[in-house]
Amino acid sequence: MNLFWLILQFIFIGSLTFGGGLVAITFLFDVFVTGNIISEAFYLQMITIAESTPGPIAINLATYLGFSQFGMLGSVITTLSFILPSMLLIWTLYPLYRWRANSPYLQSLMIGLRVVVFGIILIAMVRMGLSFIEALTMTPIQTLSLSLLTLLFMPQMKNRPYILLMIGAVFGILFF
Amino acid sequence: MEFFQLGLITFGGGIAMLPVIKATALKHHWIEEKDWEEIVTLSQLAPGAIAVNCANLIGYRSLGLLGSLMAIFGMITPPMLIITLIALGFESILNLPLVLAALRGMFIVVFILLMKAIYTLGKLAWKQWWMIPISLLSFVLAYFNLLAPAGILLLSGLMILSLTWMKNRKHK
Repeated sequence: MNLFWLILQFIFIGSLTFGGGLVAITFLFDVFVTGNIISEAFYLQMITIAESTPGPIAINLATYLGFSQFGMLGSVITTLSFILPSMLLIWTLYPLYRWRANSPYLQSLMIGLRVVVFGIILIAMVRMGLSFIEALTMTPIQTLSLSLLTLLFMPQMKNRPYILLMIGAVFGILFF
Repeated sequence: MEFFQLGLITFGGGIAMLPVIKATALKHHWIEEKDWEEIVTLSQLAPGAIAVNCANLIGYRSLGLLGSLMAIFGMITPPMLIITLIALGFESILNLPLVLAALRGMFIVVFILLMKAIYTLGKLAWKQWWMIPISLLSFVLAYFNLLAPAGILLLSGLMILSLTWMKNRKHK
């Protein structure tokens, strides 16, 4: 485990996360949890933090993971390596796209890759779902009522999810 | 420029936050209404976080490469600072029962929010019924480590390109 290896991993993941940052949850799980660098419980905590703070979830995860390994320097380096591929690609793609916006190849690549990537995103959801079920068996009434509460207020809080998260935190402190 | 705002408003990031980004970008006249669709398409076509790609393109449209860099910087700096602060203080307070309880509550909310995001993505991805088994296939391949996700993406990308090529030839 060294810094150079970490940079390569993040560049690699950054160039593969088609269809948004959510799929990075699966990729990073493979590198860090399956690779025995951090524990699964810690990773789930990281996801909670990454989703509860402003900013794209992949950026938050990258920063957090980098920090956990190499401190401040690590967090800057992992985040930059993660965005580097997409940055370069967009700068080269953009002129190309303006030139051939209706190319059937670009269109079908986008639709098709989205379908494939969706399957990979589901993996992260299944893993989180297992922890959710665990919570459900340990504290069924509290978990269920908090889930319903979230579902109930979600439409009103569409642009202010942090209010929901604060409700979750207060609820947790009171009842868990 | 107030690109920093972008980083602070995009909770969770991704498709759910695009309308918020759009409103901010239009308000500051970084882009025009007609540019938006192109920006959204490209943000999703390229790898990486959609919100970051979106910032990249909005910056590029308004100020070229410099704008890109400024927008990305604005998008990622606030979250990075916040996470770093949390990570700094977190290790020590992580063992407090109060914090653990709050985190457990937050995890449930996060899970529900992510399910909603997945649902939105699924509706977007599955335009036709036969696409569902394809997603499931990639799920099974990756879940049971039969094929690395990178390999799945590469193979399916090649397959999509060749299928499109064959279809185009038939039409001619």
